[in-house]
Amino acid sequence: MSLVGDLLSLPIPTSWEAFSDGPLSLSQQVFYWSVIITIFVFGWLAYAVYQYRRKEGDPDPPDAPKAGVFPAERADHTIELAWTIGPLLLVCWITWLSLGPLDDYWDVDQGDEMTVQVLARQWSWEFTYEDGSTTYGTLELPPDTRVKFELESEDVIHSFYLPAFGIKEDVVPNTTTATWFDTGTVAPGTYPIYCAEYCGDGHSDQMLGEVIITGTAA
Amino acid sequence: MKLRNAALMLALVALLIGASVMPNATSRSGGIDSTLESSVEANGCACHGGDASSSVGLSLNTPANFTAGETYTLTITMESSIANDGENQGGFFLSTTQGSLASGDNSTQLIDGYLTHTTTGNDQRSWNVSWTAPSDDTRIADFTLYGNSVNGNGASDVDGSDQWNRATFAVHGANAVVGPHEISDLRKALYLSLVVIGTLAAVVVGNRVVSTGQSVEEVFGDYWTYLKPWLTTTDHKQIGLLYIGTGLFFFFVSGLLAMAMRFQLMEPDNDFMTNTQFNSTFTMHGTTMVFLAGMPIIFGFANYLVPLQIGARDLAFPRLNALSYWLLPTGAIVIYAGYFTGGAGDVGWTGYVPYSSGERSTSPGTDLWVAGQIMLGASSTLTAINFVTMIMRMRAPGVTLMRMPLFTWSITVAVFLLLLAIPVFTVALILLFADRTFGSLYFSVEAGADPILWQHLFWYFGHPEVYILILPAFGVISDVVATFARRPIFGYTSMVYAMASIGLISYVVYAHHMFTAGADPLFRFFVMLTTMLVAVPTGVKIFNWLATLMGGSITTNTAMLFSLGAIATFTIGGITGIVVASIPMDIHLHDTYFVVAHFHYVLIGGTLFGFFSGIYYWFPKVTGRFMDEKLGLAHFLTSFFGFHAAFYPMHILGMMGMPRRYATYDASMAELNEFVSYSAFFFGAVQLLLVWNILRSWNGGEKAGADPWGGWSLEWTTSSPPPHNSFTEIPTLQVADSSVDEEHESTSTSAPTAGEESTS
Ligand code: HEM
Ligand SMILES: [Cu+2]
Ligand SMILES: [Cu+2]
Repeated sequence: MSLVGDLLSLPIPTSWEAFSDGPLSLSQQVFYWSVIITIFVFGWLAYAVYQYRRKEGDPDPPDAPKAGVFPAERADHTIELAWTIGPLLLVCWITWLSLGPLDDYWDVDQGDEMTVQVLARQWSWEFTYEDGSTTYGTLELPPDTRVKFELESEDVIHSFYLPAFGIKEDVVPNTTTATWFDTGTVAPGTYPIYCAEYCGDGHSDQMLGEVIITGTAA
Repeated sequence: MKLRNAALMLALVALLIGASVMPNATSRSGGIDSTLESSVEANGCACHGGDASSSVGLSLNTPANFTAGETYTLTITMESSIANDGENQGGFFLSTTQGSLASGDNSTQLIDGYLTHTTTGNDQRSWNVSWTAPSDDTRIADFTLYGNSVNGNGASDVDGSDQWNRATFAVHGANAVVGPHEISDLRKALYLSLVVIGTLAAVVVGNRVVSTGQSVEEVFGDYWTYLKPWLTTTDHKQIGLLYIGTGLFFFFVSGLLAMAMRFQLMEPDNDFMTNTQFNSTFTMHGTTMVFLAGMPIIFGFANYLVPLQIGARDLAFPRLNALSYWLLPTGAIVIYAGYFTGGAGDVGWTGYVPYSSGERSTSPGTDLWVAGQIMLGASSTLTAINFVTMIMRMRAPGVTLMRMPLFTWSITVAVFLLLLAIPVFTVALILLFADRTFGSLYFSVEAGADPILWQHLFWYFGHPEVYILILPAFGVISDVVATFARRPIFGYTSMVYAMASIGLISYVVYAHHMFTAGADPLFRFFVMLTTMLVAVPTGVKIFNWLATLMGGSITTNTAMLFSLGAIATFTIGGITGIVVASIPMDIHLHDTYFVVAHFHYVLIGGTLFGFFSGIYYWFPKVTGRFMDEKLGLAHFLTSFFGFHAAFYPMHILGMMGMPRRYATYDASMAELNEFVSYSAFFFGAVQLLLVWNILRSWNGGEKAGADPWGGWSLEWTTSSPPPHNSFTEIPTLQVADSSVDEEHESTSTSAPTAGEESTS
């Protein structure tokens, strides 16, 4: 991709599409609201600075600040209330929208999943499958399957990050954390695994792994 | 003829192919013989699977330290995803820089000083070998181990069905001194600059001795008379300038570290820095920017201005204030001393345990990082006490709480946050210090500690801390915008309440930094909601600034431009804050470059631009001279666009999944990263315009009067620069007569009775 193309792109992970359908999905709405607010603020700013710019010989407004004098309060309670309540409603709405996907995301045990044990250490990933076999760094998964990961760490905190699925869960020593995803949400192929919690020297290269979604069901 | 040429070519090609295939054709089931030694050392076991693969896990159970002359049994273990439980499972190659290796049994053999497997040993993936330590126990033995795991077909496969890897292990002698042997590039650079500074100083002193005929003692005496007041001052204005100077100095030091990181990230898999160096660099960059640049610049302004704005002669405890300041360079020296111990702290500015609490892999400088941070914590705590006392007890007549300038209000909220937050961090650091130095077990995972405890302690401080960094900038922007729009700030009262509520809310949102750490869902939901709520008072502030401009008479000089630029940039940073506050989106974006973009938009775009604005705005007050407007305009335009070019693309990189704190990245992100790096160099370079402008205008700028911009707060009622005791006479703040204000009804009418007691 060209640099300009890159700069204009909005690389949303495929998994986000599951947040709900169409242009009203969480990620899309957050994007639209962001653009609307930015345009509103920038527009207002540009308008005010242009409209009320000081020209040669302009007098000061009557209530201009004077040294040593606390200026009279300038306020309009209706409008202030409006721009308190407006944003309040908006963020409550976005919080509400965010809860939707979480129900699904936090529901790790739905009963029909395949389980993979993930053991992180400085600096490698070890994957143990249901049949007891083990791989290092490379995770091989069948297509169209709900896969549950049980994460454990041997030493420090790591974070199991699969950018293609938008999945990230810290791997914390002394506890087991869990997350899941459905391999059906992406095409068969090879995707990267990163460690997203800084864990020392090997963090940026030795913790690189890959997940291979095979073409046919196991 | 033609035929002969063709035959010759064919023969050549055949020879070439033969030559390249020959050594690969046979597998080394009998070990790596001496003809291959140098090839293995250069290319690894490239016959098996091309590049090294992290899917092969190599370990060597070395002792923690060695005793001179003792013999140890070392076990090599190879873990691999290549299934094979029959014959020809794999082989190894082990060499060391110290002591001597010997074969443990018939599965290994010694050739030319290195060890390798035998035909028997080829059928296993674990070998016992013995190593005799050197007689000098001040040395460090470095082991290099290559291992390949093969699929058992007896051939060397390059298609990935054979895999190999390389690993190194270091064993320190019981009395080994770490460091002095290897001088890192960063230390070389530091030594070089010390030598250069030393030489320059000698030249300057020597020049004065020669040209004025003074003795060396007299020259130093002169310097001393100049320096002594600065070293011994308790005056809030001088301490303020010391803070700002120190802050700006570290801003440039830390900027250089940032440039070094962007240099490393110019291309994927760059080897400009090692991983360890890169880790130290981002740690020192973050720590420096927050604690040694941001906070000092803010508290420098606060020191200088708050007493002037509330009409006090000095802080409540001037000597304590001097102590606060001097703890800062001391802490800074301690933190930076890490570079001389074999690597500065490398735990990130967040210092997460158990990585930071176990010495297993942190740089030696981490101890100094912790110690220096404790000093800075003490410094900040004292500062907070000092300011709270002054603001509550020492306001001039007429300056009631609800008539303080908004900059003073922002500092008021910030110091309350500081007072409640920084001791928690300091205590956490002391526990960490005890763990690292005295062997206590607060954060020890082996002893069953909960590693998340640190994150709670850290972010309970860390989130209010980011508001300590932004609120004062809000204060600067409020004062600047009102002055240059020539109108009172819109909604003064709601501005105060907005800041106070941001301060309160900031204590119940911190867990938004821990959304992926596996906390209880209900807790995470609560935190998501409160985090979103922060946007409400923040929005109120932005809208109030915009409303202030309405009906004004706006001068867009450098100070105003930086404030307007800060409003615009901060708006984007606030919006991305909401994006990462949404848990489903944060699960993808957490610890990626999106977060890096978010906090640089608020910290550079908000805090730094805000304080740049403050520098241009209050410079005439401090020096009695204006800064150069042309240079200022150039500085604003280049900084503003340079900043957006450098940081906007990071949003995209983050969405593509580039994790932060990485010394490398996927090749598909190369173009964007290169663009970011060049923009960052540009942004860094144009900051020199500010330095140049300050130096030039300090004595050479156009003269300014007491109130050059027409601001209202009390600092503009005293001369520029202010006299030694700040005011010749303690001023009384007047209140504007509401009748001039035709526009609005709600006004304060009562004129203060002279000498009115100001209480909270
Ligand atoms: C509307 C206001 C804001 C909201 C809703 C917000 C939200 C967040 C959230 C949710 C994170 C965590 C992201 C993650 O690690 O996944 C974050 C990180 C961060 N924010 Fe903000 N933020 C806001 C304003 C600010 C301000 C004003 C500052 C400082 C001036 C700031 C500085 C930071 C920093 C430094 C981090 C990263 C800390 C680290 O992991 O190293 N934020 N913010
Ligand atoms: Cu990591
Ligand atoms: Cu936060």
